[in-house]
Amino acid sequence: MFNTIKSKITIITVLMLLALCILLSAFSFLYLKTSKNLIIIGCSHSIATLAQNINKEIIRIEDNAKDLALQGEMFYYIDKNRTTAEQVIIDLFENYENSLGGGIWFKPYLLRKDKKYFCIYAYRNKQNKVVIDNQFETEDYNYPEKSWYVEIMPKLNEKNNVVWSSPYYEKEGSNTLMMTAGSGIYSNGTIVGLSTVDWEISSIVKSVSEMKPTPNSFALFADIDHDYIIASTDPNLNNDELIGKSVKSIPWYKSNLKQVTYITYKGHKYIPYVKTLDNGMIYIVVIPKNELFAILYRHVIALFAVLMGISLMISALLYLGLKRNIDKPIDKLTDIANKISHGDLNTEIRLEKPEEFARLASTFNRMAGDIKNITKERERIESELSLAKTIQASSLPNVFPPFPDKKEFDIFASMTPAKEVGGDFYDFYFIDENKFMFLIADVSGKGVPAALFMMTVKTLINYIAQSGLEPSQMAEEINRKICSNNKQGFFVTVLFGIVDISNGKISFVNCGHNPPIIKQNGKYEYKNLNSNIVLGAFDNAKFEVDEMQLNVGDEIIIYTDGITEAVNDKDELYGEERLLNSVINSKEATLEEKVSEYREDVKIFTQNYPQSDDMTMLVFKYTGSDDTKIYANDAKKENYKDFLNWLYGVFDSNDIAQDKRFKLELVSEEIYTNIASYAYTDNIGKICIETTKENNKFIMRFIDWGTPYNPLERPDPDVNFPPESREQGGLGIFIVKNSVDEISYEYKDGKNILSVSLYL
Amino acid sequence: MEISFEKDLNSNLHVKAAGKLDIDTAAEYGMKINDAIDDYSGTKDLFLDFSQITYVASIGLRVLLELYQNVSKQGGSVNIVNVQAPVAEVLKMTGFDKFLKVS
Repeated sequence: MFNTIKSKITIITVLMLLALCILLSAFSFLYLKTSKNLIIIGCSHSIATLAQNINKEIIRIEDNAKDLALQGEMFYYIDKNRTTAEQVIIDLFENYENSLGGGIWFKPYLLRKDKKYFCIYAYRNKQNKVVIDNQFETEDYNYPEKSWYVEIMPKLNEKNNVVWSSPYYEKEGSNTLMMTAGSGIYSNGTIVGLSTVDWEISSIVKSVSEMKPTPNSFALFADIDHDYIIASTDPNLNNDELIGKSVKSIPWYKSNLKQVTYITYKGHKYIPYVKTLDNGMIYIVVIPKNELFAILYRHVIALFAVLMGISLMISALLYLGLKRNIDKPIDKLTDIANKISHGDLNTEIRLEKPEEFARLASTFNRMAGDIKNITKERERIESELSLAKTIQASSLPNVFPPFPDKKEFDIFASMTPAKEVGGDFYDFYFIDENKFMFLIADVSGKGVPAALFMMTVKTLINYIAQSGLEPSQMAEEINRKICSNNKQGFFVTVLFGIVDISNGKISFVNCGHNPPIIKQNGKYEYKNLNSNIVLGAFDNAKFEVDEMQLNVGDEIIIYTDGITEAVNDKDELYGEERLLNSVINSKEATLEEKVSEYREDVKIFTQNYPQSDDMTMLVFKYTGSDDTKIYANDAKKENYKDFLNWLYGVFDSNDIAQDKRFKLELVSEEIYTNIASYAYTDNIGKICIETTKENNKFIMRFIDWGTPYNPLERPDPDVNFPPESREQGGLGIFIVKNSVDEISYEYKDGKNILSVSLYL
Repeated sequence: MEISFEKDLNSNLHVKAAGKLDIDTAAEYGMKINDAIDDYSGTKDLFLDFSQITYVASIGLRVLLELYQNVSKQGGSVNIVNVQAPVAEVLKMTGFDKFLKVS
């Protein structure tokens, strides 16, 4: 399932998406790092901005303190006009809303000997109007004893120097947390008083408390110089109680926080942002590390989720797209290919999209068309080949028996080509009155070229065979002719058999062909003949002849190597032994049945394994010169002369020598007269004489329908008996018995049959 | 069948004939010789010239046997001269050469 284009494309795409994810992850990692830094920077920045704002306040307060100190000096030096001074101070604070108030304070008894306390103090009342408060020049208040005075005054050592008090609660006033900045009022280098500006720091504390970059971050605002906690928003602590306490009360505080990247507090990591203000105060914002980057992590997770979603969607779309654009067209194409392979060439596939498949589909259509044409062409060639096969088959003698009037032999042959037309052939014909030639041949090669060569050779052999040459000369001449016109280098193995059917003499010429199986004396055997070279090899080849005498009933079986070299699915050859056994075990009577039985045995051996070579067989059986002649007439002595004339004719036609004629005539006369005299009681009856010549044996049968009588049972006359008393009977049959080579009697179907044979 | 007779000084009868001694001719051959023996009284020996006799069947042999029985009664003999081989063979086969003088 992973070998389909679809799955491959899917896999590649998924891998690409995966790679993209990895790339994005790497990018995200970098992005995360950068972003973390950016966040840190951003946080620092906002904290720094706040610190800057506070610093601005501080600077302004300090500037105001310095301004006030200057006003104090001017007042001390120039006019000592309290009203003017008050107005100046009011103006100053009118313009500065963040300050609760402030004023100038002179050392006791310095300005006037009678007046211990001298100060001008303005403040912003509840109506947000700056007014002068005169209640501080009392013994009750005794400002030089106040903590801020005590704290600041000693530290003022230079003009324009500003000193800050510790944070404190203004018990007398608004009871708010405040700090006071003070600057010295100098006269001729000696400090005469100080100016103060009160800073209401609750607004700052509020800003600081609101400084919450993340939900669980918190802040610490402290005056380190005075070791005083101004504000804390740590949710784990009771912050109200901490105000004014030492920073050591803060569990997580360390003096070197500026150098620390994070602190661990109650099991969580926090990142501290530390800002030191111009007046020495510090401002620390502590942010839980996980919260600081939580958004970032959320963003990254969201990004991943979106990416995965997109990837899955792309995959799904890809799958559907592939299914639509590859599966369906491929199914269609497969379907059409199946149809084509099943021979349905008229189907046409219609595919317009996608283009590649459309091209493929049009190729399929073209292919179907081409196949149709090729098939047509092939069918034409096949029909021509089939025609060629018919022509070839009809060129071989295929009417059996071919010579119904010839009783001397029987013949049957068959040829099964491996392809449409074959290179095997057989042939037979009379080359003169008594000489019958049969042959079997195997042309080298197969198919049409072999068939054409075969036709040539067959015609050539027929032509030369009729010329009356001796077998060896005939073979030489055929070979010469084949060689003279054989540019293609074909050759042919041929086994010729030339039988004189009148006497059974046969001549074989074996030109490189398989040995024949010959039945002689009732026994089938391979006969090794002189092996000559194949025809078509050397034009001056000589050929040796084998001669044999056939007797009645002898058979000759010749075949081509397509039989013996037939192969089965185990690659075994059929072989000569199987063929011989098949021939020996044949139960069939006629040659045609025998041949079909032999062929059936080969078929059983090869099963369905395809035939690779032409299979040809020819069987010849010699049945003898069966020219039986019959004489029939009334069994009368008067007809003997007529019979004798007929018998002389038979002698002439059989070319019987004089001494044999004498014996045969003698025998005939004795038997004839016997039948004419004794067969029929009333001397009325028929006689029939058959003569047959089987090879060199002359057979005569004397038949009568008279009283059953076996002359052979009659005792022989005694030739030594004195002639004076010799009986006359029995001499004739005695002569007969002593004149012939074989004699037999049988009584069959109401007939006395006396057979005599004489070897000629 | 042509047949000729000749009596010599010793009262022997010489018979010369041509042809076959078969079912057709043997009887005639025997009868003519017997007639000749009767004609020439006092015939002693019978000389049958077989130079022209080409064939003898059993019926011919019976004729020869009758001639022998006839001549031998008067103390004569039957001589077959100039016999051809096949005929001689038949005579030998049947034992006729034992009482006929074949040469």
